[in-house]
Amino acid sequence: MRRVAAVFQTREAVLGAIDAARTRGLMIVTALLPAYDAAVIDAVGVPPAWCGRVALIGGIAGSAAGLLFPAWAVAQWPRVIVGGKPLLSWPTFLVIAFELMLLGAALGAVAAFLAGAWRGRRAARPLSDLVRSSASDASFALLIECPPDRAREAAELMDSQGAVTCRVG
Amino acid sequence: MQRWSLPGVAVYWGMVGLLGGVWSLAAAVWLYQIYYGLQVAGLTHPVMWGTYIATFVFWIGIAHSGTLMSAILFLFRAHWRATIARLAETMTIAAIMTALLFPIIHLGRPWRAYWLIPYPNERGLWINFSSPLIWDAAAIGTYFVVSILFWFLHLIPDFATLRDHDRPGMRRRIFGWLALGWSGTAQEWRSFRSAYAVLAGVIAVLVVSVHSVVSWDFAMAIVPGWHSTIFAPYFVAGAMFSGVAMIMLLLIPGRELLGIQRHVTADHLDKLAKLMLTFSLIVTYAYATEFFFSFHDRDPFEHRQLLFRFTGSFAPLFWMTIACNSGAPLVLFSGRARRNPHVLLGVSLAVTIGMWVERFVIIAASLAHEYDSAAWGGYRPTYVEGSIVIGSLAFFLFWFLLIIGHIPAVAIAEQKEEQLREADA
Repeated sequence: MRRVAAVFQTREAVLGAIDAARTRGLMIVTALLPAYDAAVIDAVGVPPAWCGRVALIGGIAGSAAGLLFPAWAVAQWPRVIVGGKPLLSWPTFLVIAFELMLLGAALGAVAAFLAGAWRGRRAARPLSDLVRSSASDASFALLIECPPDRAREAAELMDSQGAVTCRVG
Repeated sequence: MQRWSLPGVAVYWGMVGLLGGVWSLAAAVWLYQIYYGLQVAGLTHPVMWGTYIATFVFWIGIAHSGTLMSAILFLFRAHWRATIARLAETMTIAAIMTALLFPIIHLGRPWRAYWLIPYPNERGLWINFSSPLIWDAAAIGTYFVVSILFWFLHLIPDFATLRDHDRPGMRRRIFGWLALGWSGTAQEWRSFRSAYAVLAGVIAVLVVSVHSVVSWDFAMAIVPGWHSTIFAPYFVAGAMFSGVAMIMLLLIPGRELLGIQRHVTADHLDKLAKLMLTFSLIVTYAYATEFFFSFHDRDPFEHRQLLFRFTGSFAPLFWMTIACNSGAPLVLFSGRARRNPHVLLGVSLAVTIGMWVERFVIIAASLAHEYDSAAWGGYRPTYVEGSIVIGSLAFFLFWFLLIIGHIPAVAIAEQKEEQLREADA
């Protein structure tokens, strides 16, 4: 299989190119965008990110750690009475559990982002490296995959959709 | 591509150098305090918490509002946030770095600062997890980590832009490392936006919880003037209030220094001024509630504490707090005042000073006038505390300027998103 990378000046042009490529049966690998653009991301067909679910798992793990860590530490205490409170003061541990829940959720979201972003980049390389500077400026880039004998046809299609540059990898 | 510049490079580095010099002097004063002990500060019985803890609470408050404003404005889809979010988040990082110094400065033996961290029992400390001071360590530590993650995540696409478009050299290489290989693929953007939304939600909850925990350091003690259920919302509103004022203080001169007048317009200042006015009214309501209940519940100690604040040795500071926090912001009811940078600068300065003085009065006046009249006392900070407080302001501004001068002061990717949205409309 060969890949074609095309750079477009406007989002309308890249949306048109995605439609045209789909109509011709070419596979869309990804698009490179200068900023978050829900319309283009949906048109590429990117599945929902896992950040929310991983954050939930991180939050549960964090809150469990926040409850168990103080309980484990306090269980080793000698018999000391502090302000008349029992040593295992679960309600007061809830504050620590709450804070660690938020920490766990945040770390989970960032871990999911790093994993998701790495997978996205890996799928697009190495051709994406040639056009990424255009996308980090103000242009859009589209990466499509096709059998070797259709590479020329794909490049011509991108040109006809208004691509300012087109590379076959 | 949006570009930013430092029009006065000499002015910028001159300011950074001057601020570095000022906080270095303050650091020397701190070394003097370490050598001779806390006796050189004004701290003595009954006021054992004074300027240092008041300044710690002040900086924590400043730290909270920056990220919260950015997060809340993101969650409410306030698109104008793109211009102030980076400054506000960077302010948070610098403020929390400054705040974290104060529990250490407050220690007689700062080399034992690691004892503040609630680790298990190997050293025989037998940590009391029912103490709000331990909750503080968990809450502020979490806030520091999450704020850095939120700030850094927001910067990744901008680092990638600089990696691809800055002049070749070491700076560009560093931006390349910091961009973590960002290519701007649709999958990366989807993950980015999802993680950013989760972090914004977490931050919004975290800010309220962390400043509530800070307020419980006081409210859970039985000291008259502290033991009040209103402290948590009162502290959270106060933090937002002082933070908006500090954002104004940084933004108005920062517009000139960083050359971002085109991005930070009079409309943005007007919106921030409305926020400041709203928080002023909330804080004033909290003051009124506190006074009302002190009189209403007929607790003689609470009653006496309030009269002491009104008429005692801290009265000038108390009335200064009311004038700065409740009086001065009322001019912002005028639309013309809200769009005048000089008026805004004056009001913001008054609020910033007023909020520091408010924390000082809460801490020092309450401790000076507890239950037993035989144990009443006064508190007069020395030049050591004064120097360290001024040094902390220099330390904050030094790190703020140093960081903001080397990253895009306005979020590039978000500005592009805004342009795409406008083109769409």
